[in-house]
Amino acid sequence: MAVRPSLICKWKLLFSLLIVISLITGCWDSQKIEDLTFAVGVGFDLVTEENSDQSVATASSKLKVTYQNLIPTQTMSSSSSSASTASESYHNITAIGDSVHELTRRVSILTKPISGEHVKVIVIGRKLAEKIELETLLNLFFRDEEFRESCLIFIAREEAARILSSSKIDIPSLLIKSISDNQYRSTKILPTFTLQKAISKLQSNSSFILQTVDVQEGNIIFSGGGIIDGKTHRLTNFFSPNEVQGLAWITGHKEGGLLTIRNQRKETLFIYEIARIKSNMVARVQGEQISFHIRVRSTGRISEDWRNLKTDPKHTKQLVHQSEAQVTAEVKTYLQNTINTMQRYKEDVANFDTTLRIQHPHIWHKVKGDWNRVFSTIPITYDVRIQIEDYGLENMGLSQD
Amino acid sequence: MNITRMMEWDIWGGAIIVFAGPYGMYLLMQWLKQLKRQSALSYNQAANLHNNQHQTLECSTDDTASIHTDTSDERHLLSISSLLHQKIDYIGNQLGHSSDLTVRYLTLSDHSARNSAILFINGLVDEKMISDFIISPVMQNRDSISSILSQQPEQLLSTLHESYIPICKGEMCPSAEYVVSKLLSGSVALLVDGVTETLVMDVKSSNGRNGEEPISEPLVRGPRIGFVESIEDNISILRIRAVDRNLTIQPYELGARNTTKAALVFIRDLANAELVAEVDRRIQTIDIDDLPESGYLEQLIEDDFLSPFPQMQNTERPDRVIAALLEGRIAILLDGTPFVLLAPVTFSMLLQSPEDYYERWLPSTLIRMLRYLAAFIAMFVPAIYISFVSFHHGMIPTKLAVSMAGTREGVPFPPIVEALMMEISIEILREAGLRLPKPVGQTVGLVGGLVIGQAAVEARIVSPIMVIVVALTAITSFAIPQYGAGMPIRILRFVAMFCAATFGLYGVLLFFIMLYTHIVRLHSFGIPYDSPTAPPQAAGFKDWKDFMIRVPLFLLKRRPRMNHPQDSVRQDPNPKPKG
Amino acid sequence: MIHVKTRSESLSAMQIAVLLANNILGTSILLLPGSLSLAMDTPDGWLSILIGGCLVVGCGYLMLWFSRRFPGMTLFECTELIMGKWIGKAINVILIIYFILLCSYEMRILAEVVNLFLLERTPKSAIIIAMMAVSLYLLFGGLNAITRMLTFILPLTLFVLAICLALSLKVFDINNLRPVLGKGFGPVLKGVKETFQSFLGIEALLILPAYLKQWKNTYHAVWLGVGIPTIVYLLTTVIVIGGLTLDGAKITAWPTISLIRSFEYTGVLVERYDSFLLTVWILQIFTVYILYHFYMVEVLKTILAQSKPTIWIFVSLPVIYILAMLPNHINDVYSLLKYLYWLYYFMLLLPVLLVVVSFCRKDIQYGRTS
Repeated sequence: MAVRPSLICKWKLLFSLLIVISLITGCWDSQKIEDLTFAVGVGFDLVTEENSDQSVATASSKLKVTYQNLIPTQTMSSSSSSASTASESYHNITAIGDSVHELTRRVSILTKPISGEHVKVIVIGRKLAEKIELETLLNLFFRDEEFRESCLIFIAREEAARILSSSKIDIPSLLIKSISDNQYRSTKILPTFTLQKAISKLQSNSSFILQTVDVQEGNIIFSGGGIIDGKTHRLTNFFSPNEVQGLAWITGHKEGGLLTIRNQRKETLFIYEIARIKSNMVARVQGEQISFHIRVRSTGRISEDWRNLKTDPKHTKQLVHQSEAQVTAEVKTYLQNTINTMQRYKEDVANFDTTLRIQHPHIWHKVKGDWNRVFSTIPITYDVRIQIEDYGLENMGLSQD
Repeated sequence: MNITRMMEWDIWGGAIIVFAGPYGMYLLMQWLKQLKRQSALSYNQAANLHNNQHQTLECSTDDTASIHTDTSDERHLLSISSLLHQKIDYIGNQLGHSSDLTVRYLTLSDHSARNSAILFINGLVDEKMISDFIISPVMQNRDSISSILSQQPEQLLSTLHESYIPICKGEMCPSAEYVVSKLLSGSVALLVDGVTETLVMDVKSSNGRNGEEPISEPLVRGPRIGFVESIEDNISILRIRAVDRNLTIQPYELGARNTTKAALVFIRDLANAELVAEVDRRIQTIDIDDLPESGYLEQLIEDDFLSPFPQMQNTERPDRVIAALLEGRIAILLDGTPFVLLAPVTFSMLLQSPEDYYERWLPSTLIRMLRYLAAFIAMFVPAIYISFVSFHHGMIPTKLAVSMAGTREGVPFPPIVEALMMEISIEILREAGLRLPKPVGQTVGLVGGLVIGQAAVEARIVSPIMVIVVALTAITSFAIPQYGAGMPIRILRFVAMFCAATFGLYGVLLFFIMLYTHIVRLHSFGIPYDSPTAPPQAAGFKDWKDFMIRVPLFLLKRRPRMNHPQDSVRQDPNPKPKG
Repeated sequence: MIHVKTRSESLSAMQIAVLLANNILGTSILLLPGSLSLAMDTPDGWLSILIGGCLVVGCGYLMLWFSRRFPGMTLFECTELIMGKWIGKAINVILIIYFILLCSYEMRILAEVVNLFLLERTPKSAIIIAMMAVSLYLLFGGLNAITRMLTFILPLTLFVLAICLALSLKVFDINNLRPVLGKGFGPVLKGVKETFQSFLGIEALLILPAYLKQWKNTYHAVWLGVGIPTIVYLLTTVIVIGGLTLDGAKITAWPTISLIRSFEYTGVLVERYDSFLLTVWILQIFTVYILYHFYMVEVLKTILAQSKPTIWIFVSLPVIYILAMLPNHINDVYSLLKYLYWLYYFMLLLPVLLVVVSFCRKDIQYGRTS
């Protein structure tokens, strides 16, 4: 292709112009990292009269959002100032508005742009969770891709804002996250529940339980669980920590936790440290009658012994059997308690529906629509077998007179 | 589908851009290509003119012409006896009529001229020894020798050796085959017409100035020898190591005014004939008044002048050249420079070092992978840093993101400007350190790197992480074993940074696609530049044994397929037990 | 009278397999788990994929058989030869439209995903134009350059994808995939249709065998070329549904990305892996786009009987661009996809028509005369 040089010159000019234009108009998304604040936790509350901010709150104000932002650590500054910044490395920003979307707009007036990509924890205040459908609340997070599906959801016993401003030393959001990562060490902590899981559960209209957090004496504590109803998508009831513990025994898959065995006088006898819980759920269908049977198997050890043991070593075996029986009885009370509560609340939060769906898909399709009601009347049986593998220091205890 | 959107301006604006942009680029490329073709054309026309003058000039003064051409001409002119002629021809054939094979004729008797010849390879032998101890005794005693020749021709050579030639090492060889191998190891052969045997004498030269270890490519383990400036010495360095008789040296005389000797070196039964022919063709087209360095040669015969990648490899190391020759590649030597050109070359070859083969396979595999990692870091890390810091804050781990934000607090420039400033200054520092004497260079590096870096951070002109990134790219670019191979990475790093500043990670990805497209489109003397990444046949994946990793030597039984060597077997796949 | 064109570029059987796998793997890596879940409403998608994969291999064999009947000829050359010049040209124009629509579709989906997950405020036009310009550079490199590029990209994709999927096992729960065949076989068959559509790209086997040098191992190439996408789809679907649950996969727009975003590994150098997935996915979209653009150019060459329709290649760019920009919303794109699938089936059935016509017309000699 023969091209005359003059033509080429014009083309070159045009082309370089194009490049310049594209470079000037480019960088649409460029945003300096230091111009952002990173939110690590978000709390939602319902504003009531007594705790509303006088200046902003009006009668129509409904929602309150609290962003917990990290303050960038100033590594540049000299050592003298670093000591002072260590004490407080987060700040909370609060906004009040009618809708979730309005909230985000309000926040954007208040501060530097907030990046939601690092949000780890979403805390929802109790009153709000009881009032509005969880789906509408989470939809923003789910649809707006700034927030990631991996952030964890919690229910605040009281007010989310209080929880996010509870601790002075640690960053509350990160603290909550690391406590929930500890869940293998306690049966009182529920498995982590991500935004993704919540959306799936809401979509499939099944009830689920979220970890509740509370503040007591300035400390964040995990206390039981909040049940989100599958139909209404609202918070309906709470589980006490003991019921949560029972739930762990029903659902199994735990590799840690403690069980304190007491006698009738509420004195601690010994502590059973769980090494593993395996539970197996079987759905039985006879005609129209559905029933469940839960097989719980656990191994563990006695980690602390407060009993005044005076038996001779010959009876070790017997003692172990006796202890196992005691643990079994204790576990059964937990189980029964939790099952009763669930059926009383008419909320299946222990995945009985999944068991039925997998084992008897046809029956499941029949009862699917009204599952929670059906569930409340289903007989649930269980058997528990505990195996104590390790007595810790018990042998020494036995040998002493 | 909304047809009304057809009316919106951004669609039409985009459509025009998407047509005009690429088309403009296409026309530009066409023009550039034409530019080269035109210049080549005008060059050739001028060259033809020049050549004519040159030839007339050459006729008058041919004293500089090589001995080889002289002797071969005269050999045709003068009738010598068939036996001598055959022998010389045979030896010449065996050595591929290499330019360094010298034939010196002697007249032993008056009856027939030139009935004897001395053969040796230039540079390998001590010529003074030959003239003093072989030629001059023979000439001085010509009468007695001629009488022996006429009476007992069979006894002549032993008599010569025993009575006339004062050279210690000498032997009689009946087979011409053996003579060739002796010649290649620095002996001189005396052939006499009518005598079947050959007298072979050792007159190995001490090889001029020995090349020191090359500064540009030092090794921890490996021969401490480098090429020198003289092409004869260089060829003899090659000859000393590579005694293969198939090592062929094809001579050229390049440069119209300052004629410079050049040589195309290859192993005849290994190198692909097409490759040799192509290189030969390209060298023949060269017409320039002077060739001061092999870089001239490289630029005149390379495939794509627009590419940032070198399409020939340059080296000072004889071991690298020999290894390349044994892979079926070719080398071009030029008089006056220690840098030898190797072709063809692929990107993977630029990241290899001879040491990879001298060390055991595990360390060299690790080192090789590190080099690829280093190349990646050197090219992409500033771009990735820019795209993370100014586009994708969510992809950095939370704590790192917060501390990055903290370190950038107070820095007035956007990351791209910051990165450009630092990268440009480090490149300048590098260049400055390179040109200065060694101790001063180190000081410059120290002052620049430490003092300015530290001061810039404290003055909050740049963030400390940026300094880390820049230092990292600088260090990793030093990990690339060849200077020339690091250049494209240094150039392209800036392009990558601009792409990242416009489109973030997507821009880096686009840049990567563009870069790799360029690599797959680029050929070096017929070999795709990305070899052996994507061989056409599944069997070609066997080249991967010596690509990112280096498998144990006993597994490298075949030469790389990508060079299409004539003889692919390096080690006998089914070795016979010796004994 | 009819001579087989000697092509300047040639392919080996392995390269056909690589191109085929690249051509098939595209948007579906991100979309298939969701669309399968929606269509089937059971977690048995993996069964459909297996069946669909086998079906596609069968189709591939038929296509190869067709190509073997007309050795060295692409589908478009066959249409002009068999259907006559004008009808053939008309059919080829339909094919051009098909390829252009596919190019636009790929570009639009690319722009959507990049807009969602990487660059929120960057206009789609910039994203599309940049990608089109870059791929044009490769297109001008010819088939061999394309093949080399794609041979490099495919292992990279598989490697990164495998890592991403392996990491996703953190949230994987086998119970989400149970019960197997809970609703019987009906939904599985419904899913097979969905799967078959996600193997869009199999039509490469009507074009690429024309470049074959020798037919050795070509049937293995079909197995490899279809097998790789089948395994990728299978694993992706299983892990996505296992990780997100069926309902989760149904509700999310881009299930695979949602899956990768739903977990974090703290304490490692990178916490989040969706950028890796996006990177290889964009590369994969690029491969599909470049191949369809290449086919389009090949049809153009046939129609115009011209070896270098340079200016027409540049003209096709704004057409692709405008078509990609026209839909207002991604849902419009999905609703238009239906018509694209009609064209897809048309292209798959075209060889049958050609073979039938070629049986009827005795005056045609094809291929290398014996």
